[in-house]
Amino acid sequence: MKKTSSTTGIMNSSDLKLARYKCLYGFFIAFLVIACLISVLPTLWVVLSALKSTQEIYSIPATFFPKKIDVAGVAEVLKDLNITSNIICTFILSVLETLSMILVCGLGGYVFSKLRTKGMGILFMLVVWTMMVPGTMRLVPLYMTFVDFPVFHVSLLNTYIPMCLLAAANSFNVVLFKNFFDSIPGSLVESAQLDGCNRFRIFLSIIIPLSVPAIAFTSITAFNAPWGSYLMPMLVITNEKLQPIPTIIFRLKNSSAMKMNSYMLLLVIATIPPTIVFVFFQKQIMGGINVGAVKG
Amino acid sequence: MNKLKHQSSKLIYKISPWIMLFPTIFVLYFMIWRPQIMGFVWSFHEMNGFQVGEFCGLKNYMEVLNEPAFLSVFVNTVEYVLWSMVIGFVLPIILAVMINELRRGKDFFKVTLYLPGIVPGIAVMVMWYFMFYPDATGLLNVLLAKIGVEPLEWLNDAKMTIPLIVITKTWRAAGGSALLYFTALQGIKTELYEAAIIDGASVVKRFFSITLPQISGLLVLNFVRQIIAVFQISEEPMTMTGGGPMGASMSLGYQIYRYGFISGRVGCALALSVLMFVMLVVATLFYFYLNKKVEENLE
Repeated sequence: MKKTSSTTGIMNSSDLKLARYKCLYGFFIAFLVIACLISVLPTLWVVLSALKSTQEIYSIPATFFPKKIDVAGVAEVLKDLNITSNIICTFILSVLETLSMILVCGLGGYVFSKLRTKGMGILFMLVVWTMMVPGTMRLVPLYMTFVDFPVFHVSLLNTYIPMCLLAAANSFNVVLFKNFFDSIPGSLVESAQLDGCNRFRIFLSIIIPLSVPAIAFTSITAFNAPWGSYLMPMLVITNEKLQPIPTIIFRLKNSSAMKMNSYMLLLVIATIPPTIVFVFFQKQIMGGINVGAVKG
Repeated sequence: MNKLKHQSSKLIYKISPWIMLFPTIFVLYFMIWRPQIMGFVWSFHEMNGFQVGEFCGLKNYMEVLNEPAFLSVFVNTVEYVLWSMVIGFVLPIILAVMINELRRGKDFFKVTLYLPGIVPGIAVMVMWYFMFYPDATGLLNVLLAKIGVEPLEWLNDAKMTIPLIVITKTWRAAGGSALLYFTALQGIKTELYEAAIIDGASVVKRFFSITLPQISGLLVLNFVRQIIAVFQISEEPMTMTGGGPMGASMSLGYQIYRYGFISGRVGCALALSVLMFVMLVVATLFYFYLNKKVEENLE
């Protein structure tokens, strides 16, 4: 970041020597600090509440920091929740959704970018238009599709196929991949063709390795999604052992048997994987948003 | 023999793009295009459970429109959109402009403000549900008690419930949007500001005549995107209020879910989906109109 006088800000360094702009600058900092506190405190409260004992969480007056952190107690609560299979299932769902998204959207973007033939222009227009079509309206028809999948006439209920199909049907990512592949020189593809690579191999061994930024950005989003969305899994998966964590969170919200601290622990569990992803891929996430922005 | 082999490999070469495109078209067709079209077609049919029955014309539509609560649900949905304009649209712009002014610590604020975006959607909704909990154990009421204010009803107060749900949504999304705006602000050429300074333009003038026009394209885009997204709001009221108190936070999107999966009026759910779709198409057309206006202004 440039620290010289030519910043992109509205106020330059000579403005900041004036008292009123000094005040304004101070106000900005104060505002941002407050905004940061509001950003962090609720989550912190949830984490701390998850660490409290059942007795403490219902005590009045309520405390913010737990009096003592009892790791064994938390482990006990976690055991009582009995959600090991659901955690594993959410992980599996995450991985499956990510893989199907990359494979389908990546291939689609590759064809639209490098192998465009007659008739594909119209299809690509359709894909672009699809980005605009709002999603809520499809809820009921989609459910009907999953109950009795057309052509094959099988029920996809209690499988993860619906979520994978939905993750793959991401027109936005098709366009994103297409735009990204457009920046890869065609000569690379041609020389591989001369070496006798078939098109699918070119995709796997040349295009994919060159597209790490695009793949990283889209897969992070795809990987995190199952940790936050509950509605479709709740409708499709009725077997409680197979339900992902968000659905469990929704289902148990009004359960009277649920203790506050164990419920908060459930929220923390859902937040851990996206947090780990953020810690490791912070650059891609913060930069990736710009990848999406440029083409919007 | 060799020639045949050559021909067949040539054929494979020719159709291989289509084979590779097939998965994309398959999922888009079955997950987006077909449900969209069939939803429209089925909305004119009698629905028995999730089975399509006889054609019945506009019966489903009449049923939806004659519902006494329809108008209030529609008004609620518009209210969600309006509040999200006031809170959700403006706040990220303010944050981005402020961060952009900072001489140091930009990265710290960017990351910290983005943190709520990491928390999964459902966790955010439930978290705020408990913070807004109307008895003495809710976090906000605990805080109010510290400064000696009586506990509030929060989400149970019909006047507050929609703004509070919008605040929840904004809490999670504002950091991400602020990042977007920040990148756009960084892209503004410094020469523009320098020229304005030479011309003696004040700081306020610089903001309104350089900063805002330079990011106006992104602003319009996000404005319309947000209208479209918030108009479809359903999971937040479903999780946080169940549509209450007394239907005060009921939205069209949540009503679709209720028709389809709670009260078993699938036909009504489909008809309402189509009605919502039409309303959103109008909004999208409005976007193209606005966008054209903005582009004309820039030229």
